Amino acid sequence: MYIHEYQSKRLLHTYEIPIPRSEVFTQGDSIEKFVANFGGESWIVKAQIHSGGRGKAGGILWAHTKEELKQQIDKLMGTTLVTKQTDAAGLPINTLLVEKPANIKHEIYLSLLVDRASKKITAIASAEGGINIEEIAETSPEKISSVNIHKTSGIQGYHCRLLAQNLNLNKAQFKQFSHILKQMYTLFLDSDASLIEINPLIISDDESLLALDAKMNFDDNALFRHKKIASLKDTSQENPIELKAKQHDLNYVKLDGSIGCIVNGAGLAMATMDLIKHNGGEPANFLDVGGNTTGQRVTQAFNLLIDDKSVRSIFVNIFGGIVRCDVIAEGILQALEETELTLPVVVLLQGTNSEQGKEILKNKHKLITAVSELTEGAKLAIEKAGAQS
Amino acid sequence: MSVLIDEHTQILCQGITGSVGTFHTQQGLDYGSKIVAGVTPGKGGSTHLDLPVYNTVSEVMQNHEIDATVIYVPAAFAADAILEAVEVEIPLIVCITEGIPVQDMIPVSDILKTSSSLLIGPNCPGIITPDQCKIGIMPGSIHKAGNVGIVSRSGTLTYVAVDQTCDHGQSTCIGIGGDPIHGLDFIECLTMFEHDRATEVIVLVGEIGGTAEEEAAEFIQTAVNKPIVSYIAGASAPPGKRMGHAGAIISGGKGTAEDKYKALENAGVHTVRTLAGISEAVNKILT
Repeated sequence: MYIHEYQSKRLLHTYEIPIPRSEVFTQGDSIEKFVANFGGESWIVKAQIHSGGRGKAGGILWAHTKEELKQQIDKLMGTTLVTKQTDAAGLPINTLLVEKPANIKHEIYLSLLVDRASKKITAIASAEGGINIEEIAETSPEKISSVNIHKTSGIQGYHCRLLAQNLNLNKAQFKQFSHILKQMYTLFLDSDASLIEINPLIISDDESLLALDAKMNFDDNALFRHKKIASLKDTSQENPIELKAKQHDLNYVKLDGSIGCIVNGAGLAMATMDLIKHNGGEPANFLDVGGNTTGQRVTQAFNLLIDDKSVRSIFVNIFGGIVRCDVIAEGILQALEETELTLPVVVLLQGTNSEQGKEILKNKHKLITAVSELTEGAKLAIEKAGAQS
Repeated sequence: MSVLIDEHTQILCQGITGSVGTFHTQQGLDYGSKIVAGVTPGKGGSTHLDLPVYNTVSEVMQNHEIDATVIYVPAAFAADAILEAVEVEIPLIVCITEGIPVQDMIPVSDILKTSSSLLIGPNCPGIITPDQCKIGIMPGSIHKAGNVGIVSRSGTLTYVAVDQTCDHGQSTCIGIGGDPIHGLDFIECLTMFEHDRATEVIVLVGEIGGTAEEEAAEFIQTAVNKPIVSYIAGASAPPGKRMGHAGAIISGGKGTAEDKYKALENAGVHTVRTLAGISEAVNKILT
């Protein structure tokens, strides 16, 4: 689960990691009051959305007078921001973080994540922090240092020394750096984080270290034991169909194509998208109804796809394991009774009792075509989508 | 011959009295698997599905010979259950549970390194040697004893691979699970299939993300002589929504389906671009 920058910074602050002086402006707050209370000579107004690339997209604005501050707040608040990392619809800006600018002498990159290759928590640092860090990692990997932290030992001084090797810190700065990294690690464990990234971690002109931007991600599977973290969730940042899917415990990701997919199992769902694309079509979504699906879940899946207006045909690909295909077939027929679907549906049932399942679907409903093979199913769904548009 | 399990494998079930544990234990017994005992804390001394239930794994070991354990314990307690099985060094631990917090699995993976126990999963369908032994949630009926060994990261894709190889049947099928931190990897499974006399062809089903397939490809070049057919799911998946750069830095841009296909092809693996191609590729090798 992602959280906003201002929420991440509050967490850092709780763990005694220095952050710039800032105030949060939310929808409904009085601009007049806010500006009057926030002293200083210049400010940075930062749109709070769950995406990177905000600066280049115009979501981070400067203000040098109080009048300008009002204008910038007004300009961003309540709008949507489209960045390189969002879809074309963008994300709504309901919260702004207004910060006192810091004088940057140098930008460092620092992060912690769970690394699947080493099966450990890994810390990464670079002296070349900032927005181009991925390019640097690719072109000059020697500028990136990383170190695995053994859970039994926890974070030690040598981890900090190893990471700081190429950061050119003086003694006082190294002391601050070690403190920040150790506190980050504690926060990482305490909150079941999967990512904590401070980029940039700056050295300001008074030689102190300061977290200028922060991104955090938490393990959804562990939220049950972190009620406070879970309460930071901002559902306005999620696609409404994806949100609805989550409420029904369906694993759904919206894509740009026209062929809706309903599949059991995440791997098979990806394979079905591959198959559609391989045959010249474009999938409208990834949708995994779960390995052991039921008719009821198929109904919920149909209801989701009805909400997506770009869907032109639906390909149902179910491999019956423990759940038999004849039961799924009955479920599909019932789902069509209960929903207001008007799109053609191609159904492939394989596995346990697939023949009976196919027999049940035969000539039962004008929208349904049952097929017996993967490629045949994908091709037919593409053809039917073409005929609809 | 087969890999890891056969008709003599004696099995324990942890979390046997829950609804999932009950259902799949019954399915396993019906298939002919030798499930001999169960564990549910607090229910020790009772019987369930005519099997003795114990409070702890250690009590089970005092009363039974156990070769393998299968875990259906809820996610919040599953790492605990795995560690309890590692403590008494049960040779094979199969964890079906999905949704285990990833930080719970870090100490599990550390402790497994110093243990003789092997872990399959979590978040996997399990392992089956057709007509001999089934440990997990896969439908027994779709399998047939034969000479194709299957290893896969995804549950239902394993079933489709089984379906695709129904002409020849399967020696053993292993679903290693898709969680970021899991037990057995492709390399260990490939090693076992390479040494298994019943296996003539290996089917490796991978997925985008991580570098397990690339590492497998490197291993295959020097250590596997049997023919391998491979499909990688997710070639069409758009780059996942993400925030921050750490993931990209650590993977160095690797882990795409194309990278994996390339690595496997360089290692002499027969790759297929759609699931439907597995059957043809296997048939070609075996005729």
